[in-house]
Amino acid sequence: MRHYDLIVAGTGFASTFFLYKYLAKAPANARVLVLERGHLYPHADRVKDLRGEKTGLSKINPNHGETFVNKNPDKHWPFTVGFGGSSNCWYGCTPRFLPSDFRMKTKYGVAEDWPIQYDELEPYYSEVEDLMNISGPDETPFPKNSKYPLPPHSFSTVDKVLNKAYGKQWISQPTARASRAVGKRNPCCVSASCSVCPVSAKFTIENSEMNVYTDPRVELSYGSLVNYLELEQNRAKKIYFTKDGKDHSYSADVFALGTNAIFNAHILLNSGDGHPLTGKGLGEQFGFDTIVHLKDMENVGGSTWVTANGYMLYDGDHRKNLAACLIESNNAPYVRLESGKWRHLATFRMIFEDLPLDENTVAKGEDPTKPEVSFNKPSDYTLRGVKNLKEKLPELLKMLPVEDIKYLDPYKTEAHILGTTRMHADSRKGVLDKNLLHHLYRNVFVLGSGSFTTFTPNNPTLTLSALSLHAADKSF
Amino acid sequence: MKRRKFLAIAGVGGVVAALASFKFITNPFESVAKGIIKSELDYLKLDEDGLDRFVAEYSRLKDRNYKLTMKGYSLFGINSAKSGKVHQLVSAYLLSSDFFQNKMDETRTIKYVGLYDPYSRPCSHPFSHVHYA
Repeated sequence: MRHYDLIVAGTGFASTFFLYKYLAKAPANARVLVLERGHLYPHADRVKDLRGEKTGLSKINPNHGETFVNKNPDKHWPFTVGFGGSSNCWYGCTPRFLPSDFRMKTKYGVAEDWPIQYDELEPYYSEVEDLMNISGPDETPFPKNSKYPLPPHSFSTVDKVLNKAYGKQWISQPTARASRAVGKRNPCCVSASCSVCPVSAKFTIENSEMNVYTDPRVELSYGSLVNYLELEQNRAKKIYFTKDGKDHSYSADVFALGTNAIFNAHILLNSGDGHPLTGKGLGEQFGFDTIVHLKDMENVGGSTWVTANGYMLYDGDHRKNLAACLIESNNAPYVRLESGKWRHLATFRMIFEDLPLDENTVAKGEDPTKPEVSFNKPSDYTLRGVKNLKEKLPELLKMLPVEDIKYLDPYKTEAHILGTTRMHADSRKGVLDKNLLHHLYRNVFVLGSGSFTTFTPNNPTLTLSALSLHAADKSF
Repeated sequence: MKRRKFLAIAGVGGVVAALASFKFITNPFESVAKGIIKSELDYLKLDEDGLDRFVAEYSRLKDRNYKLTMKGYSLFGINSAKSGKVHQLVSAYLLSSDFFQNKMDETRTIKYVGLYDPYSRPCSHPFSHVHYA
């Protein structure tokens, strides 16, 4: 029986930032095993395949849709299987949460408070921003004790008008799409195909230079599908996984699940996790595009895909009754098909927070390797936020020469998976404590956005990475 | 309505429906796409050969369902104001041409340059900071 100090499942953001901090504190003789279900599909080969040059690697990892049973096909849950996880397909948006996001119950009487607060997480936010070389502005709506490592991206002409009107409520979006060449990354040049960046401008685990998986203490095992943990009283003893068609089990002092919010919950359920909330509360944000036609005003000059974030409908007492909205200024190469008005338009993505509902679940299915995922619909709280936006938007955009506003159909996903192992200070109301340790199994960390107590309108990656750093820093 | 008149109207309707179905099935996607683009941009001069090359290359990227949908849109006159797919097709043609390189000069004949593909030609967003400092 092989024994390790730490066994980690997954190689995405959550695992990598956890390992980064763990390795900084662990002794030179520490033994770490990382189990990755997929394989390395290098960025250069992904780009070649997208150009039509066949590398033979495009099927090296399973398509995400084949790995779970989706009970509601109208709702999508995209992610990437393979080394680096969804760092391969993310779009690199990295706004911080606001302090009030962590105190929704205390401030607004909605849902629950997080067991960790903004001030505790602030230094870890800064550390992630440094490691990812985030581009961002000096003025932000959230408190910040450090400057972003890279300068902000350029506003479009529309953003300049809105920034003049709203100040730090309309900022250049903090992003992992580099504004300057840095390390192995080129500057973003607005190809607007961020799922696989054509010029490798966004941060990924592969181009991160964090040296986690080349550390001599770390053994990385590809093609290793984690099935379950052996739980005994309040601890996990062994991890069971399948590799090359054979079953294996290894023991460890500590285990860290860093797959994603679907598979972390599924591994725990397969293990016989006794917490009644494990697998419950699945959710994410709700969003749609809005096309605004402008009279005699060109929208040009932005230097990245999402050029700005708007906070005018985000925080405030309205959250007692309806959802916060984060606005993204979308700079994809949209064209207005009218003579002389080719770029007389602005496109905004409206993103709303949602509430975790127990009826939305990850559950065990007939096939023990495939979780069953059920999601009903966004909460009424969210839909009231949508109604509020539509009432307020014309007034909010009054400084622009608006001709008309058109709301498109909602997206089937915001590409985030949240809430299936939520944190709470009270072990009866949450699966995890503030250090991402399972309340019932005290040597099992459950990393990633499944831990989110509430679903703010922000993109989750920066925060889940900061939570991983915090968890490892406080626990080792 | 007399039975004979009803049968006559129904017969004419059937023939029209049959002709429409025949056209729907036999008309190639390339021809449909070309018709849509020319109709949407009827106030611009388009290089015919380039347009043919665009629709041929664009067609290779699209599956059967997409092509059937577009044929349906064409049959029922659904334009870019009503359909994102139609809007996307026409936008893709313009982005694949020299129209934006020529600063949207509507008096010049628009020539096809090559499919707009960020993986073959990154950084070619026509409204970005690269072109508008």
